[in-house]
Amino acid sequence: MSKEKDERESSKTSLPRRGFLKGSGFAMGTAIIGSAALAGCGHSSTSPTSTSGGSTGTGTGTTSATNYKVVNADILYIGGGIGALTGIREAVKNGRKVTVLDKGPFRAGGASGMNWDVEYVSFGLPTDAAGDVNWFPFEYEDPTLEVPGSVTNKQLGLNAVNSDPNISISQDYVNNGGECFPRRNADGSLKYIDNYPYPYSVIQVEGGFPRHGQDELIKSSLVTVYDRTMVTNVVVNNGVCVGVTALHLPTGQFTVYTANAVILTSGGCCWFRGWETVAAHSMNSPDNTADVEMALYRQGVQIGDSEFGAFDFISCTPSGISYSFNAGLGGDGGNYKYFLDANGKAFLTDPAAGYDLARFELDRVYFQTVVAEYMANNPSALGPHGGIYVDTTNPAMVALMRQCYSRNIELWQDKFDIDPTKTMIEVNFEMYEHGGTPVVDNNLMTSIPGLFCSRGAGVFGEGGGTCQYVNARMGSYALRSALKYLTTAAVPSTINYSTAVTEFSRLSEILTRTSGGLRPHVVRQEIQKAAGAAFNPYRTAAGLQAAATELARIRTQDLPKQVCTDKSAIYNTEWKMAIENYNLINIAELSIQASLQRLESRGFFRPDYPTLDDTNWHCMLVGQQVGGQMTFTKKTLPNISWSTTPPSSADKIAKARQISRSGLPR
Amino acid sequence: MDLQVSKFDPSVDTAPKLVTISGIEWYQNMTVLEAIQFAHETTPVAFDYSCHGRACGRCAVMLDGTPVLACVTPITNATHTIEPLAGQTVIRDLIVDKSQAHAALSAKYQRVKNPAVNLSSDSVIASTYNTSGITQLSAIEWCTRCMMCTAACPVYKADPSSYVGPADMLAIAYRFYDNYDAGNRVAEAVQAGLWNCIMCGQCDYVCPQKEIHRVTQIWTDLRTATGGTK
Repeated sequence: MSKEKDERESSKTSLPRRGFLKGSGFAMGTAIIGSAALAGCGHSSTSPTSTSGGSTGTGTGTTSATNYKVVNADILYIGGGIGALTGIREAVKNGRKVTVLDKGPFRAGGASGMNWDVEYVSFGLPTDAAGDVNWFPFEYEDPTLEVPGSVTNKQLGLNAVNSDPNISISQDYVNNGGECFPRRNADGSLKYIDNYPYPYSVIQVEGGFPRHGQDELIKSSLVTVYDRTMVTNVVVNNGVCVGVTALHLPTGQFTVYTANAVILTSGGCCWFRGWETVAAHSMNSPDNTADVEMALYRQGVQIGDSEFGAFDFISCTPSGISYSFNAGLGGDGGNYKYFLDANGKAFLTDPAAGYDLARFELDRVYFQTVVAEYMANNPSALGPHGGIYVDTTNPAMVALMRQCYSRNIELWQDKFDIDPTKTMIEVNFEMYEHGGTPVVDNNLMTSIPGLFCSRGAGVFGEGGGTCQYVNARMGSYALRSALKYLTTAAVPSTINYSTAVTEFSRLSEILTRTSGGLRPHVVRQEIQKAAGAAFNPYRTAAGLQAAATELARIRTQDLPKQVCTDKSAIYNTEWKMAIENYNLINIAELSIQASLQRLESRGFFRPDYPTLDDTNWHCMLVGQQVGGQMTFTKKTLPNISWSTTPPSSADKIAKARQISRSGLPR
Repeated sequence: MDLQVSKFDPSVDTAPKLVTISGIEWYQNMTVLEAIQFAHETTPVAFDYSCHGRACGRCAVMLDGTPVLACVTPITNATHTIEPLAGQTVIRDLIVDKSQAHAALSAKYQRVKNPAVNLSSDSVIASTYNTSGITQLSAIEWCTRCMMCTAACPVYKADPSSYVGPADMLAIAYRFYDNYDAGNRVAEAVQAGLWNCIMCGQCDYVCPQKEIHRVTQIWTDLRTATGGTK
């Protein structure tokens, strides 16, 4: 496009940003929607508010529900990030064709697309008293430590680990993934972080950049990626998953992808929680709005782990870069000495409070609960954005920061005229991962045969979502399970597309709807603010109930009034947001309601039920739509336990760590 | 604050138009991305972002003719023009199509494995690594492939057939520094137009990842490695 062709038209519609459809702004708002609706009937350059220009989404593109393409796939991946990479490599080795659907631009979507200096982990291998290695990581029964494990599906974990050809970090990321691991010691040797106490025999390596794996992936002619393609539902014939419905965002083209097996490896949805100006209170991606998970929920599939999220602290101001991983500054349990309140009090080291300081570093939930409780009880000690402070003026604190944070000090100094080395930074809770995924069997298959989910409920339990290495391991296992399934599965010879047509009608209606007057971003921010007020590491019953009431109101009153002002089918981000809102409302409600249901403190803290209750709640909580109502049931998980007695000698721990580094002999 | 925002719907428009959106309440340290969001909350603007923190590259736009990463760029309290990133095909309003550009980058980033190095051996990977290029390798890791450097490059703009642009040259340089790569990256760099770069530094100026020193370090290393051969 060239600047010479600019045609400037001034707009007389100076609408206040937030007052768009309220009070005196309402009539103006209606007029704009009216003109867009007129334009939706065809070309229009004579709308009454042409002061906004002829190209404010006046196109319509193709939105007919029966105008869809069909693409046939062998193994279909939903999501082309960390969860998919290992599995797809194995699929290719097995000679299978793989079709990948990514909602964002491939290599720039979701977590992998953030190019974000991952700390890769070779998982810990706790040993028993005899020094023999137990294969399930982070697994022990000590209730005083918060580590993912107590309500996870341990059999599933064992199945995945015992068949995983990629235990070594090096194998997966360097050999197959094109990475270099450039964080080296002066002599060029790799920097491992491996000094965690038992039972963590975890090896970590910094400097992971998963985009390289995505580059390597597409070398194979067996892999085809369709990106900027939003999967909206799953197509089920005779109880079996036969494919998915999708919307190609750049063109508005509806497509059905049929497949022999479908593997859901999309990222965790955190985007329902909170809202600043451009970000939820999350460093996770706006791509991740639980589209397929909630489509499954609405089809009656069970969803588990909705009450669990993973949190940390990140800068909450300036607003434009708030809750951002690669532009923010943060702190966590290991930095407890440097947490101050607005009065400058180092409240965590206050001897009068009597906190278990050693526990802060290892038990993230304990740390967050303590801080959250302090914040709740001391509102006058909070910063202007409701947060607390991390003392970045102390060089010792800066030295503890990961490079991905500390490099942002220069960014803040250069661009925002804030010097964190001279001013403490205000931080608040950020949720980077979340559960709320379909229940799966011990082979990661959902209740719909042929549909697998690498992040199925029970994978991470109260840890809240999955972390990178679990995602990679489970993604790989999902593929192996799918291959096994395909040895006996009968793939249908004809497909019934009627449910796909119904789905495309639903999506079309969301775009073409004219009555109601609430723009999607308005509904979106209502959901985020309601859920964000309550979904924290510290949850009161009153707060949860208020959120539940408001979310129900949004669902019943506001969502039906949601109208897209932009009627185009061409990369219509407003339409995309409108579609996503149906999923965000579901996952927000599941998260809040599941929290209310769980009458104990596990993974998060409830002051009305402050202790862990293994007698009644050592189980997964499953949400399911029954007769149009959200219902919850308890689901017991396979229980495998082993000794928590530390191994008899240091060299046995070293042996476990060595195996973590170099993999099992196979 | 007023914004002039480029609007374009190819299903009805033959060319983009600038549209004025007024009445945006400015505040200190407001970013370009926030301004776009507030504009959109007034009247629809199609735009794209993900990480809100200079990692995904999706929010790159032209601010008053200069490429910026909207999420980390403060905006002043004045009238500004926001247009889609130069050098890429515009799909809709501020959204461009980088799929060809990213496919070309992937092809350059893909490693040519050195058959003499067994990368399936953990001890090989963990052991000594030639650290002479480590700083640059680490720096290039931060490249988010936003394509702003290429958008700002005067040589690329004048004749994209003469130079692949800084983002692509960084990809070649990454494997040039990579111990485990056996490709002839020096030849590739020359062929890609290494010597047609005028070393003006616009790329470094617009890049939000200040660890990456193209002109003074990376391009210089590549040129040195050619032994002067053009």
